[in-house]
Amino acid sequence: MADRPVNAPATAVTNNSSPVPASLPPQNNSPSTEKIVPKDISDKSTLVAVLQLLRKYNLKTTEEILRKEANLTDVPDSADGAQTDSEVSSVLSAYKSEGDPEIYEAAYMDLKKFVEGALDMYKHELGLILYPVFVHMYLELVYNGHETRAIEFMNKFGGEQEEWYEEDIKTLARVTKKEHMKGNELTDTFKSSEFIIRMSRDTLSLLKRHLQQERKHSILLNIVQEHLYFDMYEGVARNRQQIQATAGGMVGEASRQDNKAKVYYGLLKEPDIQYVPVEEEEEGEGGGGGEGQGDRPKKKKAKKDPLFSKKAKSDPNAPSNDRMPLPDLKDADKLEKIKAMREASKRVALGPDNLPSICFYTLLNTVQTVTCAEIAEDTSLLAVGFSDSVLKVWSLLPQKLRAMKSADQLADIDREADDVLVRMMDDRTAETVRVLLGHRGPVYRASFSPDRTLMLSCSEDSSIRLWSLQTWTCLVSYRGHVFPIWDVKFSPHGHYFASAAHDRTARLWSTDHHQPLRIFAGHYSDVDVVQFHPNSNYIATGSSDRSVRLWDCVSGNPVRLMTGHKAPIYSLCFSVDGRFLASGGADKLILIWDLAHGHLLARLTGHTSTVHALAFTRDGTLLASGSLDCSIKLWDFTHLVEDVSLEDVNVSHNPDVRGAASGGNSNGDPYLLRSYPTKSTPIMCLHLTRRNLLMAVGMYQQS
Amino acid sequence: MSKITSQTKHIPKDAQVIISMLKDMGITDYEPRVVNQLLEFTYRYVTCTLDDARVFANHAKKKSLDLDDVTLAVQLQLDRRFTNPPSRDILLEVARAKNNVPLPMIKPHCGIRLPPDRYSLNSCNYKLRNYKKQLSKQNPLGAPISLTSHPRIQLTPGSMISGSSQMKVHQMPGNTQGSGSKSTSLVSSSPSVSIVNSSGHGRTVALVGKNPGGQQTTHKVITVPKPVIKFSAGTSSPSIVPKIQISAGTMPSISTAASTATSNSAATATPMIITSEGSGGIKRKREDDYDDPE
Repeated sequence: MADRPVNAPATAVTNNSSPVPASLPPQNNSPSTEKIVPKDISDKSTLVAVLQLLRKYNLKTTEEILRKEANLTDVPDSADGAQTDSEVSSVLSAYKSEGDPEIYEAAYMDLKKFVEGALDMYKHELGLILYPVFVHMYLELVYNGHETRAIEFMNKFGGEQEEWYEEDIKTLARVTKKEHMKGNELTDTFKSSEFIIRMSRDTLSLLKRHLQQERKHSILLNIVQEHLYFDMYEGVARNRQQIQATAGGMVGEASRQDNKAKVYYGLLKEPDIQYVPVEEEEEGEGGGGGEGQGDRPKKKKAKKDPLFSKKAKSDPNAPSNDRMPLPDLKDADKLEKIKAMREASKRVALGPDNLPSICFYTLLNTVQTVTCAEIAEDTSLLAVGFSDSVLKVWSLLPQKLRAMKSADQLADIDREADDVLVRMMDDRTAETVRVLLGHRGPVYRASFSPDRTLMLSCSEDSSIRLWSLQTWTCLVSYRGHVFPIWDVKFSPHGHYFASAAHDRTARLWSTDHHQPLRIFAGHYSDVDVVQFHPNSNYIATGSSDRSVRLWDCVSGNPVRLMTGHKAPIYSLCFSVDGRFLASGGADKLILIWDLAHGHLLARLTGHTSTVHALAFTRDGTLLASGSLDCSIKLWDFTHLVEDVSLEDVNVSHNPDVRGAASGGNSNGDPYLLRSYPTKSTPIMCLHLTRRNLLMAVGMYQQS
Repeated sequence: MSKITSQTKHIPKDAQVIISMLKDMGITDYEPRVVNQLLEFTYRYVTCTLDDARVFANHAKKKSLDLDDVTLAVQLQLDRRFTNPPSRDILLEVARAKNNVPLPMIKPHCGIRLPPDRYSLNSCNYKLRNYKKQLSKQNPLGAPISLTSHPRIQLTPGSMISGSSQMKVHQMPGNTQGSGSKSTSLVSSSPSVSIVNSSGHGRTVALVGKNPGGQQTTHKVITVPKPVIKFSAGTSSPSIVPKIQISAGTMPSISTAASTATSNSAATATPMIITSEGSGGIKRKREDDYDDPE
């Protein structure tokens, strides 16, 4: 998949049966036959680019023939200013065409007629090609300088496309001259990447037959061959509902190739920690890994029940503990884990008849300056980022925030004492709120480390700052992105963190390296949100190109591509067992994905504005969502999972998408349990405490 | 309708253009100040571009501005100000190269894991000057006032010890003048020392400071309640230029952050650069004496 742009020129060369100058055939087919003479510079540059491509693939004889035929003997061997690969490919797939501008409209109308005249069964899938063909025809007209025609074409057919392409069409409508195309990201995307359309075998053969028959619309054939990629699957053609569910991606849907890799979505094996109350509760974390053997053979093994033997309970879908290097647990971490388990045993069991209580923190007098809010894992700290680059941390417990003692005072304390971590802190410096200064632009996200000694924040000034929550100072400023960073998250195991920025990449960093360890490149537009999988081996990213991708941290490769959102995605949340991913975006939808194959399982409708916050309850039974429409909604997740059939289907399976559309419920979405509106307070953050109390943070809007 | 428009203020033509552009782009919900801001931006941008174009025209010895000049001016501005993220294939290439490197092993038994000192913000980021040479020559007042010998002053630059949970305190050597290495002296002859008053009382060279055990930028609070000692330099020796020069940022990569951070309010935890003017020529000579470049 990563190779597609580079392969495009190659396929353009090899797919066509005619010899090398594949971008020149329109001249042969068009009624006005012209001799191929490189008269003007643009023609020549195309040929030179083709020559370079031939040289690259070592096709010497073909190169010679082309040189002779096209009278390019005067072109030096080493072309002046060797064009980079991207330039070559862009020249080749440039919309160089001598075709008559009039025929574009006629061709498009014909195609529309054909689609509408097809059988109902195939109509909807065939209709998927209308949008990419429209875009490429328009760009061809613009590239060849037929400005008025292009505007007419846009006005006539632009409004007929699906509503989720509206934004992209508006962007394209502003491109009316060839010069406009040069720096425009969207046109670059369309020029260099192929639009992917999934079609069943029957639909595809129908389409091919029609295109073969319609010889006169050669431009259509060219566009289809060069810019569209058909991912064929066996089986019945999809119905309208299924197609609409996964439509919306900027360059089409996901192909089978994209979702082929195996994803280890299980949880890591927990290390054996000796603690007194042996509860079953910790198993309730889901179908994840079985209870672990001790990592340290010195400890007594199997003090607990013999039920937990390794072989029987190991999850085939869980990654091995050493697949990705993770930090060892220190003593303090082990104590923390024991404490967490003890709290987990006391948590409230939630369900459709037992909804959680909600504790809401409203930020007053913020007047649109608050940009983010985050609550620590054990609900002891609240961090709020502001658009004036300030970051404030509050304590949510009665204990205030203390700073570490000075060096000479620290030398005096007894290091062997049990509460050395408490003695380290200076009681005289206790404060309820701490202000952290350092960023040079609005702070867009804060993230606490699992042990709450460190915090990260990212900002529009393209830096990520690591703060110590013991000395309340900035420790490191990570610079690598040169564009605003929209999201940063600490890994659930600490040590690693991920960032999502405007430069269309997400990066994986570790606190002890000043440069990123992994760069996840592949999105076509800004990456707006990033989230770690509970086993820290995978990262999910949501982007403005309306797709959600899952990346493997170990290799850096994209392993899943999920389209279906109709607008940028602003929140992601993994389920507690790691198998499902919930995503919410500006299209007011919440989509539930199955990571086993990347299928869309459900669409939850109900919100009337962008969904910015998602959280699963600690036992994984309910999903809470908060949105800019000032309401929190609770969804019945166990019911949803039961409804969906989760047999081991293959990648090409087209599941039925649950949700209001399929339920046909007049009451709204069948999985919606309860909706809690607030008084004009959009929700920024949702958090479940260890005992399943739902916390929410919002800022009060007066107007 | 016309009655209403006649009653409203007359909106200048440029503003009307901006409003219609916003409408074209589909933006309907905006504060009225946005139009003003866009107008300002437009005016500034066009002026800068035309200025540049005039420079190019002059360089090419043309009488008046040409379309080519303007095009060139626009292009140059474009490359510098309005940059786009790198193209997708470049990103993919870079990502492939980067992702081939396996994830590094995690060092066991560390405290807080941080990047090397060069890349972190936790080193001591100021330096005090050494004037032992000068003072030993003329010393009418006896021992030079050494900052560290003053009872109110604590100077304990902590050095970063990454990885160890021990807390070492590294005392600054040379509290007395006989130590030989670095003794700090505060000398001024002319009243041109700019001492930043941030704690509000007396003459304070304020570097907000804390000393954690080994992890932090150390800034110190050095309060000098007494006025600074003035040395009347004799005619023979070059006048002693007042020097409290604290260089910020020993790391080149972070220096921009530190130096721009100094423009933050005084409440920030970053140190402030205090430079002093003095007699120019002598100052230059002084700078040759320094061991390390600033």
